[in-house]
Amino acid sequence: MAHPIELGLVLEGEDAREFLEDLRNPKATKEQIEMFKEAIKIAKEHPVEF
Amino acid sequence: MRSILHERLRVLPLNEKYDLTTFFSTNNELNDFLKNDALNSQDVLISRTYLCYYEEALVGFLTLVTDTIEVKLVETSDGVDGYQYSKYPCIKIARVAVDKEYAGKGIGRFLLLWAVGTVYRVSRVVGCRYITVDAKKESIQFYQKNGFKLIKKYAERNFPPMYLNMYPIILNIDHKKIDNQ
Repeated sequence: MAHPIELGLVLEGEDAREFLEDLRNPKATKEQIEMFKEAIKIAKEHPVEF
Repeated sequence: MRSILHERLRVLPLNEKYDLTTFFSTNNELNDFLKNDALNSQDVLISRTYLCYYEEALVGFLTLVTDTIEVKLVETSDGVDGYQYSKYPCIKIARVAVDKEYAGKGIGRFLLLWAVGTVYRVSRVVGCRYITVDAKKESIQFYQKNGFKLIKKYAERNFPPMYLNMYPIILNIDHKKIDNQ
């Protein structure tokens, strides 16, 4: 059996502080926005069929 | 090495009719998950796995689950006005792998983008602010380049967790334009 998928990410200390800073001042780069646009296009062109 | 065109790839939800025995990535843990655990995990509604086909070949897969990020505040002053929660909803890209015969052809990038785009679509229906991922060590740089943050405490795990805040990105997306495309 493979290692089970771990659920629930707990952030403490420096990781928690970095997360909270991102909550206070969320920023997106031009590259991230372009990546999302490409991702949305791909998902739309390859919808899940059940 | 030449990439496979995205339009020639198909993404299909895993079910019992597919032959998974032909799939071999370079990571035995991921091969084992796909062949022995993915269907069971899906049957009990823990995860959903999607297979990626190029022509008749199974070339990759990915697995999605819902997840949470919990923030343990060190001091009460660490809270943020307007955010009364200590847990935040996520969707996790829990497993991603590409068959070794098809490595270096852009399939891993395609799967990641497909997952991000699918999570975006889910977030239009169900509240979800973050994408988390258990990253292969060789993929960390790729995720960081796309804005995912590495959790330093767990950086030495086999699959270190990373997260991406979709909120500031989605603020810059013209939903109406995308919905009408």
